[in-house]
Amino acid sequence: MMSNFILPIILILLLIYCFVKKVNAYDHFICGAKGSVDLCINTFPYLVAIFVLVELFKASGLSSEIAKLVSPIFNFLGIPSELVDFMVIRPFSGSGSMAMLKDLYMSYGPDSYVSHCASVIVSATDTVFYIVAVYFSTVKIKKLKGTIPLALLSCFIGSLIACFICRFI
Amino acid sequence: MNKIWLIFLLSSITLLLFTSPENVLIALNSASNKAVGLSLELMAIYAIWMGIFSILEQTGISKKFSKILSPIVNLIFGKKNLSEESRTYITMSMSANMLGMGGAATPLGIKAMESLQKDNPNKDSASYSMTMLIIVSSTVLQFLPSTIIGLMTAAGSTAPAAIILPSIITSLCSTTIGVLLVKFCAFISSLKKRGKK
Repeated sequence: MMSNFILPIILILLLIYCFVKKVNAYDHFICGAKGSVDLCINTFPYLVAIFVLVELFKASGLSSEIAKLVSPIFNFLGIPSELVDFMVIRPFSGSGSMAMLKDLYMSYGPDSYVSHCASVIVSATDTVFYIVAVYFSTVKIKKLKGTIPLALLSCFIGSLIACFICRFI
Repeated sequence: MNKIWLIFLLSSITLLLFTSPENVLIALNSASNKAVGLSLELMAIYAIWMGIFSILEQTGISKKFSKILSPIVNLIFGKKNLSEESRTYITMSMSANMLGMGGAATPLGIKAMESLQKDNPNKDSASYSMTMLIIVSSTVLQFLPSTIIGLMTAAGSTAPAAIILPSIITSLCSTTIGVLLVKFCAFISSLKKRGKK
């Protein structure tokens, strides 16, 4: 795989550059890495809140009810019904949608139309609610002014495009 | 976020009350457990990336990089809206996403958000650039879906590379549409303000 080479090459170039320019790579690495502890402490309560939502959402069967409800609309727009559950979970949980992606690979084969659609959706959209919660965690913003609906809408349109394009693979 | 959380929790718990009330506590505990696990995992990933980024910053490579990519960032965020600091973080976060390194993109995105907050005149509500950052991050502009290709290969796919081109086209389309939507909404709200005056 070509992509396996990208990261090592970038790192080697960076370290050589540090060596030539006499930059203290070690000190700065420590300095930056220290920030990750604070960051995780800050984002932790937001993660708990999101996970509580996701767990209850799935455990109550509400997610599958919503999936059933929107399924005809999604079908009408060209999204296969096998993907509806997956698309309902996608904006909430990254690990949840990854697990569902693996299930789709298992049941339909990784080279099927459904799996292609799901793969493209995963790589072109992200978990909106998680991103909003975590990105705003350190800045204490209260009024989001339509950020969530806009993000959801653009991801949804992206998914429609994904299902359309994958027909030509 | 407040309303959404309340509505989802209320409806889920009400539903569980009628189907399986014993599962509420189980779900709550397992949620918190998962959050602890993920936090630790993220702390490990973020430590690496923030360490590497700190070196990048010190060498001045990140600034040069952000200058190269500034036409794209200017096109999306507008020329005047960004301080140099925000611009650097945003470019780095976007390029991490482009290379399929989502773990690196998040801490950079959070830093970009903090830097945007410094220039935000109204500390309570999300500025235009903040909304734009969320849109750009959630409609990831990705050119190398390495994680997914790895997963497909593991599942026995014969042609995992088939999804690369569709992924690029889709992410380009979804990001463009998202950006246009934000610009359109900002345009409408500026019209409304003018109308009030």
